[in-house]
Amino acid sequence: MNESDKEIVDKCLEGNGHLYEILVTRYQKKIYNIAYRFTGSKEDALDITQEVFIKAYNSLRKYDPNYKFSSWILKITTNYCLDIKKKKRVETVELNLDLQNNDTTVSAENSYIYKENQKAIYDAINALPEKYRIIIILYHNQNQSYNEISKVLNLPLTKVKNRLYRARLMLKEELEGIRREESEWIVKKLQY
Amino acid sequence: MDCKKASILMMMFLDNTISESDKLRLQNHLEECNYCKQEFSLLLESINIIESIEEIEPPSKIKDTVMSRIDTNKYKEKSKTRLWILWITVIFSMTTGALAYLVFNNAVIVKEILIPLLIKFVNFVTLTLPVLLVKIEENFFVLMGVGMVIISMLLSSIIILVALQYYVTEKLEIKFRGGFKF
Repeated sequence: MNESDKEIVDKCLEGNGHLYEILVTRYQKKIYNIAYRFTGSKEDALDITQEVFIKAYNSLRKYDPNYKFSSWILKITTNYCLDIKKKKRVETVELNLDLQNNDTTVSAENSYIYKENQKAIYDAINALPEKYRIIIILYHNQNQSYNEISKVLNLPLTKVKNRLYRARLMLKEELEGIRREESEWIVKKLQY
Repeated sequence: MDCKKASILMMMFLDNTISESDKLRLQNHLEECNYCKQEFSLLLESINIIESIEEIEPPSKIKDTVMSRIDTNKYKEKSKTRLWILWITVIFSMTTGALAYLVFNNAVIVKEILIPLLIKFVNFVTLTLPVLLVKIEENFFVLMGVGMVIISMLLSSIIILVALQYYVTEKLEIKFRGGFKF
């Protein structure tokens, strides 16, 4: 079980395809979550995850061992997600992020505000153009480095940084808008 | 420090690449500038929310579905079959090539030197083979014709085999570890 990804890939290529299940076990959660964050549908995420692993296995000879397997499979995932989005361009997706608040010490009111802000941010992520959305998910939710994102998306490092910068500002503006609406609502409530 | 520079430092802070001195400069700026202070607080909150999104567990069937839909012998069969075909092709090509060269260019040598030598050698060993070889010698040109037909059949079958292999296995993709691509 402690074999490296590269060793497992080598063994698969030598004819031990059954060992591929170790790689599936290792990366299914990551791929599934990215696909889910990107599509907002558990059903689509399941299909994408399965297809990505099958596609990766069938292209195993194309894997360059100089790169990390995780980056390679992430690249297949993001390409696949973007392709699917292109095909479903007309449909709007709702990012269902399982709103959870485990902090039991916060008051009901705070919890409500937190959830509202959370929802606002989720909506804002959904509203981001795909090229920004994928970067913010990879960087802030999947902890991928700039270098990894640059490799995965085949973009220059400066472009990755620039897009992340803009995406953060867009999200901040969204939250700002929500806050403004909230305070206007409170002022109105006080006036009556 | 102006707000534009502060905005860049905020991003560096989020990237965790900010130096201690820049952090201090940012802090000083935020104490003086309410606008940036609010912006920074909103940025931090947005990022905290994204980072706090909990990962969900994938359905347990993923692994089984993937493993049932892939051919776990895909590379075993291909690597062996491909190498066998490669070796057979190489050996046949070399043998038939050498034979063809010998027959076409050195018919005299074969007929007048090699075969008589062989006959003399085999004469010592057995009595039956010389008779056969004499017959070969007698019918040399007929046999050479038959030989050429066989050789051309072999060559054409090899060409068909290689062409088939090429199309069936996506441009004969034999990739050895280390980057060598056949």
